[in-house]
Amino acid sequence: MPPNRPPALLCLALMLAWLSTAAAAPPAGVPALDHPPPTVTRTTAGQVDLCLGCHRQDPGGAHARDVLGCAACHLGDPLAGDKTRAHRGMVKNPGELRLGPRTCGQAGCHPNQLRWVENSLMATNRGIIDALRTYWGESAGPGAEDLTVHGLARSGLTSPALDYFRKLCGSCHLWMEKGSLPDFLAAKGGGCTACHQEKPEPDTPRERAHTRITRDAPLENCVRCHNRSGRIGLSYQGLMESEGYGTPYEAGDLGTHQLEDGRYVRSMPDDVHHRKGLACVDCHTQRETMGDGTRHVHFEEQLEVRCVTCHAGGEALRPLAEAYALRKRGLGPPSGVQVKRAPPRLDVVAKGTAFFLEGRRDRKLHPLDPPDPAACRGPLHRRLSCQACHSTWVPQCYGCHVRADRSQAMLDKVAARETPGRWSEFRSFMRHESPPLGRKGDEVVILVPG
Amino acid sequence: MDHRGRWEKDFVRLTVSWMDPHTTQPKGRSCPDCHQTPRALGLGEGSLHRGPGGWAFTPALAARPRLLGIDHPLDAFVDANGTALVHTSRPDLRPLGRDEIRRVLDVGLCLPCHRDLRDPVMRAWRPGRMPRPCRHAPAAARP
Repeated sequence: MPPNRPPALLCLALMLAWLSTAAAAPPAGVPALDHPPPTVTRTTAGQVDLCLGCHRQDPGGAHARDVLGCAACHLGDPLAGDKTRAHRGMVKNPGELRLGPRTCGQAGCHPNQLRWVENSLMATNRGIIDALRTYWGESAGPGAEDLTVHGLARSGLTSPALDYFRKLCGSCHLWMEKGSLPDFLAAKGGGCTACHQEKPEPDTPRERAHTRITRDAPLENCVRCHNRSGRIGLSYQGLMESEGYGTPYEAGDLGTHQLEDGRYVRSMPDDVHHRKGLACVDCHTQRETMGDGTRHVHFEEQLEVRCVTCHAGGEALRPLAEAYALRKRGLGPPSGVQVKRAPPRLDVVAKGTAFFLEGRRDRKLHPLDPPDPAACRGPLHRRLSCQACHSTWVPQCYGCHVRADRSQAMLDKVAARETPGRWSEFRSFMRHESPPLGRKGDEVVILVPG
Repeated sequence: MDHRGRWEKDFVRLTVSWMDPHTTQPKGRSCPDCHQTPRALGLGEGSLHRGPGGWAFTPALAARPRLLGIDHPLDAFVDANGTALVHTSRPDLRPLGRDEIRRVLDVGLCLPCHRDLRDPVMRAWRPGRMPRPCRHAPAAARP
């Protein structure tokens, strides 16, 4: 820039100052300012973001308004002095995956994570589709095809199993735009924010209220989707879906313990990890949930944490604790970098010879008990998975079945329109006791119908 | 159902999958819950009996439920001969086999007296090698 010219920002500041003190009637051709910014507002990095002049909302933390401003995430024009131009191109939910390259995944923010997530099971639903096609006998077997929810949306491909997926499963994937479906389904989807968004603190003043962005997803974000099929999000909390008759009755009438979609649940012993205050993200690491950029068909392929990872006992936990100690000091790979064959990112803390898991949400230290030497480590049960013994109940639906009625229509969640064929699910002969055992490879595991 | 809402066709396909139920408890299942419980072994509800011919199982549900169009009890993944009755979700996944079921059930014969792994008899047990039955053992446990 030539030295005899004033800097552009100075010009802009002077112009805005003049505009803010101008008469109420603007000159012809100049749009009226409905909220003239009182001053040129900047982020802590010195970036001009005039949005901050009107908006007080604050996500806090690393995404605080003073740090990022508004436009870095919500787009729009942060240099425009009038509302209409400032809001042009603005997005309500920056986390939507279709916006990812311009918002969360932009250079300098989370480009690697976006790349992983776009190809992850939670974004593609590859595993659900593959399982359904296998179960219904429509494919040659697990992994024989490569169908994704994105592909189904583009191709319109359908079959009995795919129609079932479209009508009953297709709302739970990260490409789903939040609010695009009716009723309770409106809360599903939303890309990055499906997991990483939390309600504001309860005592936040209304004008400052903004959803908080969290690295450690709360349980309810996970359960919003993980409450069908294996029902693990319910089971973990000690809830079991009942057969739908409203039992156990309360005061002579139907029970009141219902999910938002109308399913009745009953109380069961919750998972000990839930009882101790741990959330899903305490065990399920970034690589497990967001993927690692590699195309996996089923979750077990990207599983890196098993019970023995934490409950191995003794010095086996030392590498995990050392890796976490480095991370806490700002050393070691940052969260946007995944190192192959590195120990899982578990927040394990060593205190002498004792090891603890530091809860990612409650920051409490939870002792990591070793397995029972006789029952778990002895020769008699050496092939049993930990779950085979320590999961004392599991939902088993022996008589559940579905019906497709082509005389009626139903919302296809992938195409976002009604198409012929209404699916009904019928529950019967549901049990929870004595989880059945089977063999997977050399390991004894729990088998369930479905 | 067809476009007029009338039954058109149906099919029955029973598949079992494996899972971590996410219902972990500090104390594991009781010994009888596996070693004396047919459902835990994939046989379904019913009665177990050991006679001269080995283990026999009588299902509680109809063995050939005509209403369902299947030729085995609805809650059975496997029969007492170790024949799998259901599809599985992975190629390397299967219900327990005949010998596996037998070995698990054999332990159950001794549980009334030797209740758990604190008992020296149970601690001395080696996989697949039932100790010689003691004089208190039920007749069914004797060779």
